[in-house]
Amino acid sequence: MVKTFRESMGGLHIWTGLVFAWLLFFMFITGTLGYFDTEIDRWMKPELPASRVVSAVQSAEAAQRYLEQAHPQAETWFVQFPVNRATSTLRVHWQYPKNSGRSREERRGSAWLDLETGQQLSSRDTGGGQALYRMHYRLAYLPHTLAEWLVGIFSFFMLLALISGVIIHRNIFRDFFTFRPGKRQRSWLDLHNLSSVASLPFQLMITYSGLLFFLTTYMPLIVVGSYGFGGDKMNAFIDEIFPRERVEQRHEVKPMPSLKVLVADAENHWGAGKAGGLEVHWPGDAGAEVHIRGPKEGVTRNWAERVYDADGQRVVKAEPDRVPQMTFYSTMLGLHEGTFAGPILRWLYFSSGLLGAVMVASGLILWSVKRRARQLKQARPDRGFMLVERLNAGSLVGLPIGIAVYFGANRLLPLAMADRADWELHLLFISWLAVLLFASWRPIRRCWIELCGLAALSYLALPLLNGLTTSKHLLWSLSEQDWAMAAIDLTFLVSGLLFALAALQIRRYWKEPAAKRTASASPSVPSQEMAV
Amino acid sequence: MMPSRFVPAGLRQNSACISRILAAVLGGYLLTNTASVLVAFLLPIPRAHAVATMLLMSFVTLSVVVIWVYATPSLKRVWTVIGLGLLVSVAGSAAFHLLGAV
Repeated sequence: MVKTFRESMGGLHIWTGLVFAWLLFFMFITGTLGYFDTEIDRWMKPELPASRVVSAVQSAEAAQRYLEQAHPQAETWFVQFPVNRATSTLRVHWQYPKNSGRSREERRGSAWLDLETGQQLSSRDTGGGQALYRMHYRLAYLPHTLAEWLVGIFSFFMLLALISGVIIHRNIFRDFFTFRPGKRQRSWLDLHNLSSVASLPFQLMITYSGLLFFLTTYMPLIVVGSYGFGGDKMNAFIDEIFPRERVEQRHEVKPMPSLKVLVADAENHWGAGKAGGLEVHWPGDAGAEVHIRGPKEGVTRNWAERVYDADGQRVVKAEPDRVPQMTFYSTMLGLHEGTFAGPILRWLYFSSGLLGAVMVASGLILWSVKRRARQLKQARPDRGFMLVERLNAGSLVGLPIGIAVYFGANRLLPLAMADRADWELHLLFISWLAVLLFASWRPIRRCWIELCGLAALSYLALPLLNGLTTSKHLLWSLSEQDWAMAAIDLTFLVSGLLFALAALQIRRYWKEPAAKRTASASPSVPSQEMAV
Repeated sequence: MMPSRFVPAGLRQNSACISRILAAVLGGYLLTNTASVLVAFLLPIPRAHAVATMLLMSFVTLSVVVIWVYATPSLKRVWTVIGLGLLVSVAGSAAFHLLGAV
């Protein structure tokens, strides 16, 4: 078996691609939605007021009023000021010490606050954009460690598929400019090449950096080999690369300084509007420390910081030694999360992620299109081929339908329902499963058209559903300039139209003279299926 | 359990195919881990920095090993190199531990 290097890579590419593609598609779609997690949160919590930018000073005052009253015994308070898209409303988190007698779940919590009254804002129980995007690394219904490992294995095979894909390209540059529509298999190959090559730097970055998040889970032996076995050895390593000071409690009650004054002082230094949030360690204790976060340092996850003690005096701390490897690490994670990105770059992130999904989807379709003609000549097509074809239809369209159902469930489930947020997700998977079952018995051609039509209907129905069940319909959000709300509704409309277009295209494709294709009878498609 | 059509041409022989996958996945994973430990000892920078460097590089290393496994025609050669690599890495790292203890 003498093969060229490129041929052996072709084998590797097809193998890794096919086996891992469906879950990768799921990770691409849910992860990409995460670039608009806050906007999705907003759509799914229509009760909250529209986001507005309020000064950090005013936010600090409201946050302190709430936290001192509601969580005076906490170990740490975190406050995010509503100064950018990621935090569109004032949000506070708190964390209790380990010995506080609270269970693990009860030790942490968070709340959105009303800026005027400092009271907690309540909204419907929903998973929002967070639950949706978290699935791209935590999956669903699985223990965290198992999910981390699965995601790691899949990401690594994605990395392999990318590298081997680059190697099997003769003309990576020419492919970038090549698209020959209407040529069947050749068109799918072109689309696969185009979407991969155009977004290749993004794909490499996102896959490699994704693997870094749980690096010590995946490669523990590297640390064990140098430091020895055991959790404390692992912690010793982590303490060495993340030098951090612990703030000690003094068990001596002392009223807090005014956070409003401290934030004003910090903003005098950085400039108005530059403080992004703050952390208070041991609030109400003599050992308390207030860390005010300033502007972010470039792409990394690091912030400039100003620290104040329990008397409200500024504490000058030595800059921690930044380990260069950790700056690299932090930069890669920052690039992956893209929290630094402004609106234009954010849409670029979003479209690169979608291109990734297109890359996976077109690769899968290419695989089955390439084999279809030969398979249909056989008396019984292979089971493997049938499986891929069914899974393609059931997943590539089924997941988007499931996500539309997730959004729809947010509006339709009774507000007082128990475990409402969980049920939103259950319904996503139930409807996806239903689509898979549907795809498993329906004639494959009708199946594609019907599913695309169903997806189109679902997405077009969402803005309508929003208008019927809340007062925040598209005309309202546009006139009130609630851009997050409006953008999500508009994105639903565009998605719906794209699915409708896809349904029409596929229908036209199947209607072409059968002589050009195969001998198998092509069922005629009733036109009412295209009522979209 | 997977139909042989899923397996790329040239790797049809099942045992050769399984052996190659094992070499790539299991051999590659172990070799990456052990070789990284040895190289971390050899790097002239503080230990934590060296370990962090090798951790950050680990998936690049693993990719290179897997691609090499798939590109090398002779399976015997693949297993020999992986075996030797494991031996050298483990022995080398052990030597560093012992020297460090003295």
